[in-house]
Amino acid sequence: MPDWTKRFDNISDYKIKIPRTCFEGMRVPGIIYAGPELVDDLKSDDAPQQVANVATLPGIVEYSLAMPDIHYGYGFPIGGVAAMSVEEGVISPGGVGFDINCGVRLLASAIEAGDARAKADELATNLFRDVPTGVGSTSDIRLRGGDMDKVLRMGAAWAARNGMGWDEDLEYCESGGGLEEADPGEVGRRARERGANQLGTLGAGNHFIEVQEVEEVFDDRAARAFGLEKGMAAVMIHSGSRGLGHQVCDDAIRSMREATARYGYELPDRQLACAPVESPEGCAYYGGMCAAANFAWANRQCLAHTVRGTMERVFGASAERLGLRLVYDVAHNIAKFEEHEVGGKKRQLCVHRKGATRAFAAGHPELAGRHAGVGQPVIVPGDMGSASYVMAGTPLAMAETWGSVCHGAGRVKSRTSAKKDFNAATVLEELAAHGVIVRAGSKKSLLEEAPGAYKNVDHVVGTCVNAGLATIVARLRPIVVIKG
Amino acid sequence: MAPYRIVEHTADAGVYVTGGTLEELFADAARGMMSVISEVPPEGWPETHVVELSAPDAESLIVDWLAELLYLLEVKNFFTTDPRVEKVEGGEMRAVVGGARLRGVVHATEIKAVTHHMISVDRTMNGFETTIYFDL
Repeated sequence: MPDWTKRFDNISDYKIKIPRTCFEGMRVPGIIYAGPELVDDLKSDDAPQQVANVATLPGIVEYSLAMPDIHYGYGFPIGGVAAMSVEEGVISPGGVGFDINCGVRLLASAIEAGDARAKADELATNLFRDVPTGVGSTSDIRLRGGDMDKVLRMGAAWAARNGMGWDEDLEYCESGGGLEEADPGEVGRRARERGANQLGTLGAGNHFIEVQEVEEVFDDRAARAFGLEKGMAAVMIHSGSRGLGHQVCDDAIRSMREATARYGYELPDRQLACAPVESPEGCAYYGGMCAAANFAWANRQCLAHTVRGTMERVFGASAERLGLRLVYDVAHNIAKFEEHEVGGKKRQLCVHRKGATRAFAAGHPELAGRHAGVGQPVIVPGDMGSASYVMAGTPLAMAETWGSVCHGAGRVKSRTSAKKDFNAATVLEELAAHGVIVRAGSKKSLLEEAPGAYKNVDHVVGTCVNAGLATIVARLRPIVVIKG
Repeated sequence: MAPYRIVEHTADAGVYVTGGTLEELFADAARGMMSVISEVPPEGWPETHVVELSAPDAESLIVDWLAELLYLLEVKNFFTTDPRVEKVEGGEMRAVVGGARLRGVVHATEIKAVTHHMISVDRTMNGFETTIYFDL
């Protein structure tokens, strides 16, 4: 593969430009946010080529962006952000991903981290038993009759109104845990079959539930607004729309692979299949995507309900007494219609985030009341051996990245290499030495997700902060990790 | 040469597949995908499914074929072990797929979807080749 770093223009220590002339067909330049410690990773796979490929999409506005957790995906790079003109641009299911609304939810608590550590084994055993994980796992929640349509329309609200959550949870979800434009009619039979028994299941791969300690607070005011306190326990949930979302994307790509040719688009990668935003295909996809996104929010709401129940039994007190309040729930694979400033004028854009998180600044009308003065919480999980971070969005992110930042640590090693290079017993011992107890569905899953397979999350978050895209509010350390 | 091998991908997984005929290519692509999910086939009750599909071209058809096997795994709990591809011609295919109905949860690798990433079914001196990437 080419050494991309030779073709870059370094705009700053944290911002790299791929000029439009670099690759035939680029309509806009590419911008990759990567600090000095991360630049070498850009040589290890062809992710910059994917940034350039996205830049060829019709109607892309200003830049093809990539966040510092950038790595090679399929079509779009992971960490990719692209805003499209609503009138002239395209919407691309590959720019969202198969796991529509894969995202992260964080619950704060009034439990002392020391008490959580003292019960770590019990927490691990009970969470691993209570939360369905792994291939073929099914949920106890049975959707009957018109229930599925209600889930697809209402999202997290369906779960909250069926005894699986608190009404206040909805205020602390991105988009209130549900997108109004959801069209259950665009979720086909196969997608419904796949999702029928999966509401409230974790999945596998890099999905997880962690009990964590709020190890450090860097911004007292923001931490108070978010409900985070140093030395207390927290719970992080990473999951998405399960088989339902995967199928909605699959069906849309199938529909768009024919549409792409009909609209006369020549694409460097079939995975970038797309249609005009306002076309019948584009609207159909968006309606289905919103419905699948709502399924994911309902899923994380149900998972949080299960976790609250487990914590109640382990600590012998109600979830309310334990203070298990929702800090925030963010999506990191999604397309949104948002108003942004372009060339001094406000414009409606279709913003694709594929492995990137929305990070709106203080004062944005979509923010919950408690967050209005500090900015949107951004939850960034690291690998299971290191830290996760909570950040807050900034005005510079609004100006430069359509209000977007990274979503995680970003992989640096393939799963094949991870299985060759790491040993399960050693990984577990090293994690235990750092006070982390893991329950994973298999050794393979453990190895593929071993800490060494990921970039250093401190560097990824550091790039976002040094580039002015976000501020750090808190750092969290894992105590218990559950994986499929 | 082995009919398939796993290829490196930072976040996901891929298989590079060869076959003397399109039928062999499709069958070995299926075996390759199932080996990504579980190197050792899980135990279960023997079962057979017939798959008949059509698509605009060979690339779309092979993606749809593998997606069908994923659907059978996720919804019918059916793990493919013996994909007998009878015909791949003119945008249509037919296969009789042998495998196992699984008993409960399997701690294997979850493939979310078969991608179209850089998909191309190419002729070679010995038949056909392709590389297919999966979203994990």
